[in-house]
Amino acid sequence: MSAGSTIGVAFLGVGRMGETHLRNLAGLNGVRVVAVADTKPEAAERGKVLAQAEIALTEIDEAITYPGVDAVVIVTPTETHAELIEKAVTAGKAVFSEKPIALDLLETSRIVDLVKAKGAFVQIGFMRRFDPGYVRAKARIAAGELGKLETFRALSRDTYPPSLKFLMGSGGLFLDMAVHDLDLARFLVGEVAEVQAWGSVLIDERFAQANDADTAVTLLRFHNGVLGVAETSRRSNWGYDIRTEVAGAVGKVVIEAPQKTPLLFAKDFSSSYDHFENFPDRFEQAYRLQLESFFRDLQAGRQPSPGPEDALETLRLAIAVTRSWREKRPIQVSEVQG
Amino acid sequence: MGFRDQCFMDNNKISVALIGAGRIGQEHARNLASFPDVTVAVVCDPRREAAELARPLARARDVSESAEEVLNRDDIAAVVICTPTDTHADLIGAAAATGKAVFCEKPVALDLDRTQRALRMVAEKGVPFQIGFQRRFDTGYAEAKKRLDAGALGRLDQFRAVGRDPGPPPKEYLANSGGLFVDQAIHDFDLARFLMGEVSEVQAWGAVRFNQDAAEMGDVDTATTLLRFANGALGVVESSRQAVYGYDIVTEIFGEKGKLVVQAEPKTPLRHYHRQGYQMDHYHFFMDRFGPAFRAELNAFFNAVATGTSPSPGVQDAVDSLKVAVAATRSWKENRPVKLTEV
Repeated sequence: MSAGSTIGVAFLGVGRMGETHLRNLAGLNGVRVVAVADTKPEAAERGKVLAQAEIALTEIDEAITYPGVDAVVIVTPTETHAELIEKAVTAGKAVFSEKPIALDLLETSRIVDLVKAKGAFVQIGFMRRFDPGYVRAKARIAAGELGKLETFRALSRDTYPPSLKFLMGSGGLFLDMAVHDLDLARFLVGEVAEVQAWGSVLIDERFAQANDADTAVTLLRFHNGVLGVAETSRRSNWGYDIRTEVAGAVGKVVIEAPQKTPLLFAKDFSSSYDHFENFPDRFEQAYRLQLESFFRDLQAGRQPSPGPEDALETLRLAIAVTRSWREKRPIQVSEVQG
Repeated sequence: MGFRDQCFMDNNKISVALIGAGRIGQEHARNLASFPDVTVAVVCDPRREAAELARPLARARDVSESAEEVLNRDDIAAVVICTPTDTHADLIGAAAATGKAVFCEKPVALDLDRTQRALRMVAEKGVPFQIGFQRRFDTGYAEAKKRLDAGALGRLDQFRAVGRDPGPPPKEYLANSGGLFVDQAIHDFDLARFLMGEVSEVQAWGAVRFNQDAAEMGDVDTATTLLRFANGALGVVESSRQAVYGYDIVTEIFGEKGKLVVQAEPKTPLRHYHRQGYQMDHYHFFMDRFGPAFRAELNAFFNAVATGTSPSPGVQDAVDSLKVAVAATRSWKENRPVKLTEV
């Protein structure tokens, strides 16, 4: 897009994640942040400076309809996403929103229907799909290089257990955290037909207080017959541990980034490398690339991906897994209806 | 009013001119746009369309075709120079003369005379100056330096560097490059100084193995250089203008208590297993391997300007790393060991 047709952006929510997105937006050609909004005035002001925006606002609605705004980037707390997406779409804006749309299926379906009815342009922030490892894996699978797919395997361990306050509003281990691996399962292998999950509290009693699990193993049966497993844990004392493997008849792909710094240190009969600390450093590039993709699609008039329907189907899967854990039985994903 | 105060006249931001809007200029433009304390007032390139292309990337107000006009503006506190090499020295001199902080791509010039003349003006005016040895800002090299400074390896004994570009540059580029040692191996010479200490003597062998253009230009495409450090350590730098499998950059420091290896593989966090074994990918060239380092070096420069500290690598590093490259070139041509004191 030429300099004459710059896309104006309203940016909503300046937390830690928001600041990352603002820095990435600053490096995108043809994109200009016009307004930054946060209910906390000092956060809005900090965002305005980072983005070199025209105005800082504490009224979020005002930012959506601020003159010159074509697209809205939503990085506010989860419970506000659906309402803000609705407002932005109704005002005729393109929308990028952090995941999830909402934690329940009805509310998410309502937004999917609204987006469809309006023919709106909406992308949801499943950033792992934009990590170069997952992108390349997807391309190899799509080109048939693995042959007929047989198994899927994902392992995710977060570095730091979250606070109790966060846990209470998170939707639980499967909706908040395992959801990333469930989305990758759909992205790389296809739709899931049936799940069975086991969960446990092994790390911290607070998870029991929150009626949640901190450790879980989930079995997946895909429609195409592939079998899968996802391991999930809220703690990792050695760093952010994210591994994914898809195996087929003639080959397999392993997505794993064990080494953060390109440095090997050999000493005392051993060699050591470092690890990524957490999602902001491991997926730094993916956060930038997903926004690039959003604006490139917007400029080209293509529908963005992953859209609200992916958010809905991934949520449906995560709810099925949660239910399987609670009810201690296998669940057909089709049992989960809004 | 000190230099620091002047810098912040424009809305508390450092007002910058980006001079040169080629490939690396565009990379710098993007990075500059993402620094909250910096604003790019003007992008300058004699090719107007190049300047126009970089202007939105840098979020710049103006474009200009004349570096002279830009350097005479007193609303500009700092310049980022990424023009062709033969223009660096004059631009540095002129920018320093008007009291501007200077970040310049390496090298200052291809010979020591011009380099020292340009940097004399920088020293006289006391303006902040940084030279673009970006590898020092790569997370691997920065962490290696930190560990070495903390004494993690004890006494340092050997240095080893491999620097292989994916393919030879065009003939026109070779003509003005200063040759393999000054143009390419200098990055490894600078790292040798950065990580090990000063070099006292070199012996270089060079050969033309695959690129006839290099022979016609009186240059080589393949070289091995031995280094003797002032602290007694020994080193070797292997350089090639071609590596069919990608950009091959490996550095190793060996000491009394251990060794450090700086090597970035694979580029993509993906392993592909198949019947023949498993496969990972490589970086293509410096833009992808050192992308974050280019950002970090500019960030460090503006942090230094903002806090009134001296940027690094500065004038002395620009001169001393060039000296190693000039000595290596002479050693290759005269086929004998050359002491750095001769240069």
